[in-house]
Amino acid sequence: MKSRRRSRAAVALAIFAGCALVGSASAQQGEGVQDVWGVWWVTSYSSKIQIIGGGDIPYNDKGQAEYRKNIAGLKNGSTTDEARRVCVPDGIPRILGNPYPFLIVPARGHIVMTYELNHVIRIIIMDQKQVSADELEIAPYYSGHSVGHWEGDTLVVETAGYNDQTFLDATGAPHSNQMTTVERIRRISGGKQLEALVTVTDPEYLTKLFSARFAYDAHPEVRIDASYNCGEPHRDISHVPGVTEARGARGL
Amino acid sequence: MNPKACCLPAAMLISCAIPAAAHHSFAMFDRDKTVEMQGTVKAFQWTNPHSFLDVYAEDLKGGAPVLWTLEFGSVHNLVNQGWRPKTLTPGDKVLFTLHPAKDGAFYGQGLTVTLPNGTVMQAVQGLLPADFEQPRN
Repeated sequence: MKSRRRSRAAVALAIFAGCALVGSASAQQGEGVQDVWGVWWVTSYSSKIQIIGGGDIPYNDKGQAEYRKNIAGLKNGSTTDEARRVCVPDGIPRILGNPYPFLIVPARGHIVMTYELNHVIRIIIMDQKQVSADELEIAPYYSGHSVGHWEGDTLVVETAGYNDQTFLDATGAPHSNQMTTVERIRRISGGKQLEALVTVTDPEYLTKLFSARFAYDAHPEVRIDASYNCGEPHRDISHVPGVTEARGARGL
Repeated sequence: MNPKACCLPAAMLISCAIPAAAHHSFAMFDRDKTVEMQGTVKAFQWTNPHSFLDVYAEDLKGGAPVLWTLEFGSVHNLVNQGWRPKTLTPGDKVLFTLHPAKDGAFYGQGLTVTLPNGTVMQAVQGLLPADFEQPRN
């Protein structure tokens, strides 16, 4: 009797130890832990931002009028896509879906996201309050002012204080300087991919908020060219689904 | 990406009306002359080291509007005088005064801008007492 109990206990212990080992293996792969570090590359590109739930960006009349103006202007040349002409930052959320790789780096009190396209660098200030509304108003940035914190395995980035110089996507979709965004970033697919869910709020141009989702593959073998400017010889991105079509339609 | 569209080097600025942002002295403006005009805002660039106003000045003789560029001080300097990035927006009908450039270009040191609602915004350059308070970008 005693020996049977002992052997059952031993078996139970072995199973428990086995489960613990399996659990730690997936944690080592990166899912379920606070690890968004490394080089990432978007899984597909779309010149028009894909809204969760489908359909168009929920513009109000003012936003719709501005969008129509941009579309017409881009077509006849009176409006410039400056991010593709003089290499100013794409802005958010456009940079999140861009077809070039980027790198996320941990630092003390900061997280740095450095994008190869237009050498965009986003500094996320960790576990601090956002700057004052006054500061956000008088110091608008292309990529806004970002503060971040962890919620479990998810990096939450809240950004405000954008200038109104960028498009939401390559079609010229506008936003006002009242826009704010929240990104929720975490590893998925057993740690082999990264997911970014971005929610966009813009009381001046939108009737309601909208969200979009971007997925990225890990590419630890890629070395970022942090000095790449738009328009110069660059890495081959033709393998990224959606790029060839976008180039044909001049929507990159 | 269209290679033709992107052939401008990144160092080139966006508009030809804006001079290079190098240190320059006020000597380029004729401070014995003050010109007053009215017109329509084309663009207001809120930036350091100088903010700029591009404005279509009406020709009192009835000719086509002429594009003038007014140069202001730093963001800090303007904030201390009550300005904000959206104090001027494209399409605003304004009255403005300036010291014109000595070389005759349609360019000047901006002095005041009267907003559509009648408020007169001052744009004094040089150090104000408030400039000695907390530093800003």
